[in-house]
Amino acid sequence: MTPPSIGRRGSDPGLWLLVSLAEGPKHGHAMMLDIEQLSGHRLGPGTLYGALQRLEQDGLVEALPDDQRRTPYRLTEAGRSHLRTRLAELQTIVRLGTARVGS
Amino acid sequence: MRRLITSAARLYPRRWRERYGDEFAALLAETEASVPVLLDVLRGAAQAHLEGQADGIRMLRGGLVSTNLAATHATRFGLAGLMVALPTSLLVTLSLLKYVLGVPGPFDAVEPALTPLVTHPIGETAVILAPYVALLLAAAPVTRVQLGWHQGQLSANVRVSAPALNVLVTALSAGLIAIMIGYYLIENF
Repeated sequence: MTPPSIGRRGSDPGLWLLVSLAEGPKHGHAMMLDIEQLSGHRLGPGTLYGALQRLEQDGLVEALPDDQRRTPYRLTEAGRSHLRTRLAELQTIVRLGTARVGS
Repeated sequence: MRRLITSAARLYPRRWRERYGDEFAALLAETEASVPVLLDVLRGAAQAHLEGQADGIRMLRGGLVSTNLAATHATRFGLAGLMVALPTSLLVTLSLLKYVLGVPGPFDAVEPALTPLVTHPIGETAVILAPYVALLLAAAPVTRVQLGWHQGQLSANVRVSAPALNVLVTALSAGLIAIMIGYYLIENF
Protein backbone atom coordinates (compact mmCIF):
# COMPACT_ATOMS: atom_id res chain seq x y z
CA MET A 1 0.00 0.00 0.00
CA THR A 2 1.32 3.45 -0.90
CA PRO A 3 1.95 5.56 2.22
CA PRO A 4 -0.16 8.73 2.49
CA SER A 5 1.67 11.81 1.21
CA ILE A 6 1.99 14.92 3.37
CA GLY A 7 1.88 18.49 2.23
CA ARG A 8 0.01 20.67 -0.19
CA ARG A 9 -1.66 17.85 -2.10
CA GLY A 10 -1.46 15.23 0.61
CA SER A 11 -2.75 15.08 4.14
CA ASP A 12 -2.50 17.99 6.56
CA PRO A 13 0.97 18.22 8.22
CA GLY A 14 -0.68 19.87 11.24
CA LEU A 15 -2.83 16.79 11.78
CA TRP A 16 0.22 14.54 11.70
CA LEU A 17 1.91 16.81 14.26
CA LEU A 18 -1.11 16.55 16.55
CA VAL A 19 -1.11 12.76 16.17
CA SER A 20 2.60 12.66 16.96
CA LEU A 21 2.26 14.88 20.04
CA ALA A 22 -0.75 12.88 21.27
CA GLU A 23 1.80 10.29 22.39
CA GLY A 24 3.68 12.83 24.52
CA PRO A 25 5.90 15.95 24.27
CA LYS A 26 8.49 15.96 21.49
CA HIS A 27 10.93 18.41 19.94
CA GLY A 28 11.10 19.12 16.20
CA HIS A 29 13.48 16.35 15.19
CA ALA A 30 11.65 13.74 17.27
CA MET A 31 8.36 14.80 15.62
CA MET A 32 9.97 14.52 12.21
CA LEU A 33 11.22 10.97 12.88
CA ASP A 34 7.93 9.90 14.48
CA ILE A 35 5.86 11.17 11.57
CA GLU A 36 8.21 9.50 9.12
CA GLN A 37 7.71 6.23 10.96
CA LEU A 38 3.92 6.68 11.09
CA SER A 39 3.33 7.92 7.55
CA GLY A 40 6.33 6.73 5.56
CA HIS A 41 7.11 10.34 4.55
CA ARG A 42 9.54 12.79 6.08
CA LEU A 43 8.25 16.29 6.72
CA GLY A 44 10.67 19.02 5.63
CA PRO A 45 11.85 21.35 8.43
CA GLY A 46 10.08 24.33 6.82
CA THR A 47 6.81 22.45 6.49
CA LEU A 48 7.09 21.14 10.05
CA TYR A 49 7.74 24.53 11.63
CA GLY A 50 5.12 26.25 9.44
CA ALA A 51 2.51 23.80 10.73
CA LEU A 52 3.86 24.00 14.29
CA GLN A 53 3.62 27.80 14.26
CA ARG A 54 -0.02 27.69 13.14
CA LEU A 55 -0.89 25.10 15.79
CA GLU A 56 0.79 27.19 18.48
CA GLN A 57 -1.01 30.36 17.33
CA ASP A 58 -4.30 28.45 17.47
CA GLY A 59 -3.51 27.30 21.01
CA LEU A 60 -3.49 23.62 20.03
CA VAL A 61 0.13 23.00 21.09
CA GLU A 62 2.43 24.74 23.54
CA ALA A 63 6.18 24.98 23.99
CA LEU A 64 7.86 23.52 27.06
CA PRO A 65 11.12 24.85 28.55
CA ASP A 66 14.11 24.40 26.23
CA ASP A 67 16.08 21.17 26.32
CA GLN A 68 19.44 22.65 25.26
CA ARG A 69 18.45 24.44 22.00
CA ARG A 70 15.68 21.97 21.20
CA THR A 71 12.25 23.11 22.32
CA PRO A 72 9.79 20.34 23.12
CA TYR A 73 6.09 20.85 22.41
CA ARG A 74 3.01 19.23 23.87
CA LEU A 75 -0.68 19.09 23.06
CA THR A 76 -2.91 21.46 24.97
CA GLU A 77 -6.36 20.35 26.10
CA ALA A 78 -7.79 22.31 23.17
CA GLY A 79 -5.38 20.48 20.87
CA ARG A 80 -6.42 17.07 22.19
CA SER A 81 -10.09 17.98 21.78
CA HIS A 82 -9.44 19.32 18.26
CA LEU A 83 -7.62 16.12 17.32
CA ARG A 84 -10.53 13.98 18.56
CA THR A 85 -12.96 16.04 16.47
CA ARG A 86 -10.79 15.84 13.34
CA LEU A 87 -10.32 12.08 13.73
CA ALA A 88 -14.08 11.60 14.15
CA GLU A 89 -14.65 13.65 10.98
CA LEU A 90 -12.11 11.56 9.11
CA GLN A 91 -13.73 8.34 10.33
CA THR A 92 -17.07 9.59 9.00
CA ILE A 93 -15.47 10.50 5.66
CA VAL A 94 -13.78 7.08 5.44
CA ARG A 95 -17.02 5.28 6.30
CA LEU A 96 -19.20 7.22 3.87
CA GLY A 97 -16.58 7.37 1.15
CA THR A 98 -15.82 3.67 1.35
CA ALA A 99 -19.51 2.82 1.19
CA ARG A 100 -19.93 4.89 -1.96
CA VAL A 101 -16.76 4.04 -3.81
CA GLY A 102 -16.81 0.35 -2.89
CA SER A 103 -13.94 -1.46 -1.24
CA MET B 1 24.56 22.52 0.88
CA ARG B 2 24.28 22.92 4.65
CA ARG B 3 25.58 26.47 4.40
CA LEU B 4 22.93 27.23 1.77
CA ILE B 5 20.21 25.83 4.02
CA THR B 6 21.47 27.89 6.96
CA SER B 7 21.43 30.99 4.72
CA ALA B 8 17.90 30.15 3.55
CA ALA B 9 16.78 30.01 7.20
CA ARG B 10 17.88 33.64 7.54
CA LEU B 11 15.22 34.56 4.98
CA TYR B 12 12.46 33.96 7.53
CA PRO B 13 10.89 37.17 8.92
CA ARG B 14 12.75 38.70 11.88
CA ARG B 15 9.87 38.10 14.29
CA TRP B 16 9.68 34.48 13.25
CA ARG B 17 13.43 34.05 13.78
CA GLU B 18 13.21 35.67 17.21
CA ARG B 19 10.59 33.14 18.24
CA TYR B 20 11.68 29.96 16.43
CA GLY B 21 15.20 30.73 15.11
CA ASP B 22 17.26 28.81 17.70
CA GLU B 23 15.15 25.69 17.75
CA PHE B 24 14.80 25.74 13.96
CA ALA B 25 18.60 25.95 13.66
CA ALA B 26 18.86 22.99 16.05
CA LEU B 27 16.44 21.01 13.87
CA LEU B 28 18.37 21.91 10.70
CA ALA B 29 21.60 20.75 12.35
CA GLU B 30 20.00 17.33 12.96
CA THR B 31 18.49 17.11 9.46
CA GLU B 32 20.40 15.64 6.53
CA ALA B 33 21.25 18.48 4.13
CA SER B 34 19.73 17.99 0.69
CA VAL B 35 18.16 19.94 -2.15
CA PRO B 36 14.57 19.00 -1.11
CA VAL B 37 15.33 20.28 2.42
CA LEU B 38 16.71 23.54 0.96
CA LEU B 39 13.59 23.97 -1.18
CA ASP B 40 11.37 23.18 1.80
CA VAL B 41 13.11 25.82 3.94
CA LEU B 42 12.82 28.39 1.14
CA ARG B 43 9.12 27.61 0.75
CA GLY B 44 8.65 27.83 4.53
CA ALA B 45 10.37 31.25 4.59
CA ALA B 46 8.17 32.53 1.75
CA GLN B 47 5.06 31.21 3.51
CA ALA B 48 6.09 32.82 6.82
CA HIS B 49 6.36 36.17 5.03
CA LEU B 50 2.91 35.74 3.54
CA GLU B 51 1.27 34.70 6.79
CA GLY B 52 0.50 36.70 9.91
CA GLN B 53 1.55 40.35 9.83
CA ALA B 54 4.13 39.90 7.11
CA ASP B 55 4.30 42.35 4.24
CA GLY B 56 3.21 41.37 0.79
CA ILE B 57 0.33 40.08 -1.19
CA ARG B 58 -1.54 37.01 -0.12
CA MET B 59 -3.38 34.85 -2.57
CA LEU B 60 -6.26 33.11 -0.90
CA ARG B 61 -8.69 30.48 -2.11
CA GLY B 62 -11.50 31.55 -4.41
CA GLY B 63 -9.47 34.19 -6.22
CA LEU B 64 -9.32 36.44 -3.18
CA VAL B 65 -6.39 38.84 -3.14
CA SER B 66 -5.44 40.55 0.08
CA THR B 67 -2.82 43.26 0.42
CA ASN B 68 -1.28 44.19 3.74
CA LEU B 69 1.61 46.35 2.71
CA ALA B 70 4.29 47.02 5.27
CA ALA B 71 1.79 47.16 8.13
CA THR B 72 4.47 46.34 10.66
CA HIS B 73 6.59 49.33 9.57
CA ALA B 74 3.75 51.83 9.21
CA THR B 75 5.36 54.54 11.35
CA ARG B 76 8.63 54.36 9.40
CA PHE B 77 6.70 54.75 6.17
CA GLY B 78 4.79 57.66 7.72
CA LEU B 79 8.08 59.32 8.68
CA ALA B 80 9.44 58.81 5.15
CA GLY B 81 6.23 60.37 3.79
CA LEU B 82 6.70 63.37 6.08
CA MET B 83 10.28 63.85 4.81
CA VAL B 84 9.10 63.67 1.20
CA ALA B 85 6.22 66.12 1.77
CA LEU B 86 8.24 68.62 3.83
CA PRO B 87 9.88 70.70 1.01
CA THR B 88 6.55 71.08 -0.84
CA SER B 89 4.79 71.92 2.44
CA LEU B 90 7.33 74.62 3.12
CA LEU B 91 7.00 76.06 -0.36
CA VAL B 92 3.18 76.06 -0.27
CA THR B 93 3.09 77.56 3.24
CA LEU B 94 5.45 80.40 2.29
CA SER B 95 3.48 81.02 -0.93
CA LEU B 96 0.20 81.18 1.00
CA LEU B 97 1.78 83.59 3.50
CA LYS B 98 2.91 85.89 0.72
CA TYR B 99 0.08 85.71 -1.80
CA VAL B 100 -2.96 85.04 0.41
CA LEU B 101 -2.10 86.56 3.79
CA GLY B 102 0.17 89.35 2.52
CA VAL B 103 3.25 88.35 4.54
CA PRO B 104 6.02 88.33 1.90
CA GLY B 105 9.06 88.29 4.24
CA PRO B 106 9.69 84.54 4.65
CA PHE B 107 9.01 83.78 0.96
CA ASP B 108 11.25 86.58 -0.26
CA ALA B 109 14.03 85.44 2.08
CA VAL B 110 14.23 81.96 0.56
CA GLU B 111 13.20 82.82 -3.01
CA PRO B 112 16.75 83.29 -4.39
CA ALA B 113 17.66 79.80 -3.24
CA LEU B 114 14.36 78.20 -4.28
CA THR B 115 13.91 79.72 -7.73
CA PRO B 116 16.64 77.71 -9.54
CA LEU B 117 15.29 74.53 -7.95
CA VAL B 118 11.59 74.92 -8.69
CA THR B 119 12.10 76.29 -12.19
CA HIS B 120 14.22 73.30 -13.21
CA PRO B 121 11.99 70.64 -14.85
CA ILE B 122 13.17 67.89 -12.46
CA GLY B 123 12.80 70.10 -9.38
CA GLU B 124 9.36 71.27 -10.46
CA THR B 125 8.19 67.70 -11.10
CA ALA B 126 9.57 66.57 -7.73
CA VAL B 127 7.75 69.38 -5.90
CA ILE B 128 4.46 68.54 -7.64
CA LEU B 129 4.73 64.76 -7.22
CA ALA B 130 6.02 64.83 -3.61
CA PRO B 131 2.55 65.06 -1.93
CA TYR B 132 1.28 62.11 -3.98
CA VAL B 133 4.32 60.02 -3.03
CA ALA B 134 3.96 61.08 0.62
CA LEU B 135 0.27 60.16 0.57
CA LEU B 136 1.11 56.74 -0.81
CA LEU B 137 3.88 56.18 1.75
CA ALA B 138 1.67 57.20 4.69
CA ALA B 139 -1.62 55.61 3.67
CA ALA B 140 -0.78 52.43 1.74
CA PRO B 141 0.96 50.56 4.61
CA VAL B 142 -1.97 51.10 6.96
CA THR B 143 -4.66 50.22 4.44
CA ARG B 144 -5.72 46.63 4.02
CA VAL B 145 -7.68 45.94 0.87
CA GLN B 146 -9.40 42.65 0.20
CA LEU B 147 -10.87 41.94 -3.19
CA GLY B 148 -13.02 38.89 -3.72
CA TRP B 149 -14.78 37.29 -6.64
CA HIS B 150 -17.65 35.06 -5.66
CA GLN B 151 -20.53 33.81 -7.81
CA GLY B 152 -19.91 36.44 -10.47
CA GLN B 153 -19.81 39.37 -8.06
CA LEU B 154 -16.86 41.51 -7.06
CA SER B 155 -16.57 42.43 -3.40
CA ALA B 156 -14.14 44.89 -1.84
CA ASN B 157 -13.32 45.31 1.81
CA VAL B 158 -11.10 48.23 2.90
CA ARG B 159 -9.77 48.47 6.44
CA VAL B 160 -7.52 51.26 7.78
CA SER B 161 -5.57 51.00 11.01
CA ALA B 162 -3.21 53.98 11.20
CA PRO B 163 -0.80 55.46 13.78
CA ALA B 164 -1.27 59.20 14.45
CA LEU B 165 1.81 60.11 12.36
CA ASN B 166 0.38 58.39 9.29
CA VAL B 167 -2.98 60.15 9.76
CA LEU B 168 -1.16 63.49 10.04
CA VAL B 169 0.98 62.92 6.93
CA THR B 170 -2.03 61.65 4.97
CA ALA B 171 -4.01 64.78 5.91
CA LEU B 172 -1.03 67.04 5.13
CA SER B 173 -0.47 65.41 1.74
CA ALA B 174 -4.17 65.53 0.85
CA GLY B 175 -4.27 69.20 1.85
CA LEU B 176 -1.24 69.99 -0.32
CA ILE B 177 -2.76 68.15 -3.27
CA ALA B 178 -6.06 70.04 -2.83
CA ILE B 179 -4.25 73.42 -2.65
CA MET B 180 -2.14 72.65 -5.71
CA ILE B 181 -5.14 71.47 -7.75
CA GLY B 182 -7.11 74.54 -6.60
CA TYR B 183 -4.24 76.83 -7.59
CA TYR B 184 -3.95 75.13 -11.00
CA LEU B 185 -7.69 75.52 -11.65
CA ILE B 186 -7.71 79.17 -10.62
CA GLU B 187 -4.68 79.95 -12.78
CA ASN B 188 -5.91 78.11 -15.89
CA PHE B 189 -9.71 78.50 -15.93
